[in-house]
Amino acid sequence: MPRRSLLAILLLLSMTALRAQTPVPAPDTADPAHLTWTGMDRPLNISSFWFTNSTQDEPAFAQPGYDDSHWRPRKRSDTLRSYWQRPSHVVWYRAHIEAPPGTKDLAVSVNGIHGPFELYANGRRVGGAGRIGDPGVFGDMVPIVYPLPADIAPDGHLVLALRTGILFTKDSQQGGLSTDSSLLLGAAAHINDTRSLSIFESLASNYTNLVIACIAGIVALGLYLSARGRDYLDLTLSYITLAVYNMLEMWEFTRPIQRSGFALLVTALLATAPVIFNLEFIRRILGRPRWKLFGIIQILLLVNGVVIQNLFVLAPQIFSFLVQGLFPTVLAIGTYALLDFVVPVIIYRAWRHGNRDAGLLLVAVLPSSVLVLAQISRSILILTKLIANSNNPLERVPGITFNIGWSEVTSFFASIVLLLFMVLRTIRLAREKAELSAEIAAAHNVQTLLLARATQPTPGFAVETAYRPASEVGGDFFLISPGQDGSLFAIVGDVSGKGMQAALRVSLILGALHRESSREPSLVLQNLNSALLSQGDIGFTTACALLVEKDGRFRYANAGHLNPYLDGEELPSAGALPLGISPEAEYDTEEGHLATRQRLVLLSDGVPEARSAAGDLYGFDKLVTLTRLPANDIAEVAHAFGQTDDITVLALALA
Amino acid sequence: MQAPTKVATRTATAASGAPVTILAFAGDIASTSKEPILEAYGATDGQKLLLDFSGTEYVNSSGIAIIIQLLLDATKTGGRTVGIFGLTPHFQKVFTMVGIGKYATLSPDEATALGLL
Repeated sequence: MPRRSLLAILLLLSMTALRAQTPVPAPDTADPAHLTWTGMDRPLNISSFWFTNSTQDEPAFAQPGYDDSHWRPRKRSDTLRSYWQRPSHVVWYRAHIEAPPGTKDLAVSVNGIHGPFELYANGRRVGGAGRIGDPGVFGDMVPIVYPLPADIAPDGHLVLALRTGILFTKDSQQGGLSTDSSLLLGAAAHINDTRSLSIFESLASNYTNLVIACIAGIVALGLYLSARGRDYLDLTLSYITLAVYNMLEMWEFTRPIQRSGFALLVTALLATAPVIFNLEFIRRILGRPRWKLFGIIQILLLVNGVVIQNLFVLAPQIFSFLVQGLFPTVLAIGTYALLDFVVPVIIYRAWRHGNRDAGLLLVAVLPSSVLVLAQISRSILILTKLIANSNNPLERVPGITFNIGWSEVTSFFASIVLLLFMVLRTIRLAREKAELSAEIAAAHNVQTLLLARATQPTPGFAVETAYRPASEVGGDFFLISPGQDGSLFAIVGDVSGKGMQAALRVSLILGALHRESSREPSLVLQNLNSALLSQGDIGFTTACALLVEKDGRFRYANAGHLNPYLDGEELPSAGALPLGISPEAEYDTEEGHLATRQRLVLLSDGVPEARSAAGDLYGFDKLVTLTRLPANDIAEVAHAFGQTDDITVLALALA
Repeated sequence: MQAPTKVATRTATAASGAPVTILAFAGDIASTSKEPILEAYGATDGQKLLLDFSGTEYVNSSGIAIIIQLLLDATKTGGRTVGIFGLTPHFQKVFTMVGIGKYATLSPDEATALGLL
C-alpha cells in the first residue's frame, strides 16, 4: 500500500496503452435505452447501459420525460476520451429500466466513481457525493447504497440519471463512469448484503495488515524504549505511519470523500513515509552513509510520491504530456527501480560480507522488490507492445474470494519477517552483550589482581597511589618494585585506546614487567618496546620508568609519557616515541636527586587532559601546584574537572 | 562532545621555492579520524608536507597514534620533509613529549613553518 503511487502510475501506463489500441467504438448493437428487469431475486447490473452527453448541463436531463434518443451510447470499457478529445467538466448519464409494476424498496449502489456526482431517479435527487466543480479526488472503493423512495416507479418505468463532475488530465480522467465503476439496482436488502460482502472482501487484507503493523510497531517501540537505539525508532515510525495510513484508507473505503489538495498531500505523505523510514532503518542496520545512495533514494521517494504523482491535482491546469504523463512515469519507474533493485543488491552484498542482520532483511524485502520490478517490466512491455494488455496476473491473488493484491501479500510477509528479525536480533545482541560483560568482568578481575601485585611494601620509601579507570577496565598501568639493594623501581604508563583491547594490552605489559630482570629504566623501556612490537600492530603505549636509589639518587627514562614532577617542578626529558611503534626507538636516561621531604610524582595524561563540560583542558600549567597535593587529591581534582581518560597518580618520597 | 574531523588539502610554496602540500585539520582528532586523515594523506604527493592544526582543539592518544603513523610513513618510507604548525601550547607540549619533534618541525604558524621547509 505505501507503493500506491507506483501502482497508480502503472495503471496509468496500462490505460495509455489501452487507449492507443482502441478505436472510437461503434454503437452497441443491442438497444441500451431500455433495460428490462424481470425479477427481484438478484440485483441488476446497470454499469454498461448508459447514455452520455458531454456538451450541456441541463436540469432537464434528470427528468424521466426528457428525450435522450440523440445521446450517444456507451460501452463499459470506454473512457470519455474515446468520444471526445476535450469533454465538458460535467457529464450526464441516463438509463431506462422497466421493472415489474408496483416494485418497492429499491436501492441503487454506486461504486468506483472517483469524483463528485448526483444521482436522480425519475427526476428526484436520491443521492450523491461531493460538490461538482470542486477539485479533489474521491476515495470510495466499496458501494454506497442510495435507497429509492417507495413510490418512485408505480408503473415500473424508472429513469436513472447521473450527473458527474470530471477532472481530466492528459492521460486519464478522475470522476465519471470508468472501467472500474459499478452500479447495481435491486431490492434494498440484496443491495445492502452485497455492500457488506464487498466491504468484507475488500478490507480483509487491510485489517490483517493493520493488525500486523500495530503488533510490529509496538514491538519496535518497546525495543526502542528499552535499548534507546535509533534503529528501532525508524521502524517504529514506519509502522505508526503505515497503521495510520491503513486506517485512513479503510475509513475512506466505506464513504465517498472529496479530498482537498492539502488532504491529498497529507495522504500521499503518509503513504510514502513508511518506505522512507524503512529505508532509513535498513541504512542504519547496514551501516551505510546517510547522504549517499540511500539519501538520494529517500529524497526521490518523497518528491515522487508526494509531489510529482499528484501534479494532476496540484496543477490540473497543466495539460502537458511532459509534465503530467512522461515525467511522473519516468520518475516513478526510475525511483522504484533504484529502490527495488539497488537496495536488495546492497543488502545481499552486506550479507555476503558477513553482516548477520542483512540475511533476514533480504528475505523481508525480496518478494516485494521482485513484484514491483515485475510490474515495471510488464508495463514497459505493454507500452512497447511486446505483450498484450490482458488481465494483470501481478495485481490480484487468484482463486480466492477476498480481494487481496499481491502487494498486500508481500507487505504482510515483510512485516512478519521483520517481526522475526527484531526478535532474533534482540536475542543475539543480548547474548553478545552478556558475553562481552563476562569478558570485561574477567579482564577487570585480572587487571585488579595484577595492579594489586603492582603495589608491594616499599621499605625506605613512602608511596601513594591513586588509580581511577574511566571505564570498568582501564588502559593505564603502574608498577612499584622494591629492590633488595634498597632501591625502588616504579613505572606509570598508558596504552592507547580503551575497553577490552586496552585491558588485554595492560595485562600483557604487566606480565612482561613482572618477568623483567633489569631495573634500569631505559633498558626496561627498550625491552618492553620489543615485547610490544612482537605482538604486531596493537597500538602504542607511553610509559615513564623510574629507579630511585636508597640515597635519593634517581634515574628515569621516558617513552612519550608525561615527565616526572619533583616538588611541583617538571623534570626534563628528550621527547621519545611511545612503545610499540618503532624498533629503532631509543630512550635516554635522565638523572636527578630526591632529597628528604621532597616528593616525586608520576602521573598519566588523564590528569592534564581532563576536560570540562565546556571543552577546556585542565592543562599542564596547573600541574605545578597540583602535583604538590597527595596522590588521591590529584586524582580527585582531575576527576572533578572532567575525567575523560584513566587517571593514575604515583607519588613517592624517602621515608 | 567530539567534533568530527575534516581534512582540507591546499598548496603553498616554501621559502626555498619548493611546492608544499598542506593538510589542514578541523575538529577533534581521535580514533575516528583515521580514515579521513590517511585518505587525505594518501592523495598527497610532493616532497614537502605541512600539517595544519589551527582548526584542531583536541587530539587524544589514538589521534596522536594516527599522526605518528603518518609521520613515520612520510619521513621514513617516503623520505618526505614534514612540518607541523597551528598546535595549541598544550598539544605542542604533548607532540614534543611523544617524540614527534624528531620527525617533523613544530612551528607556531604557517609562515614560520614554510620558512623552515
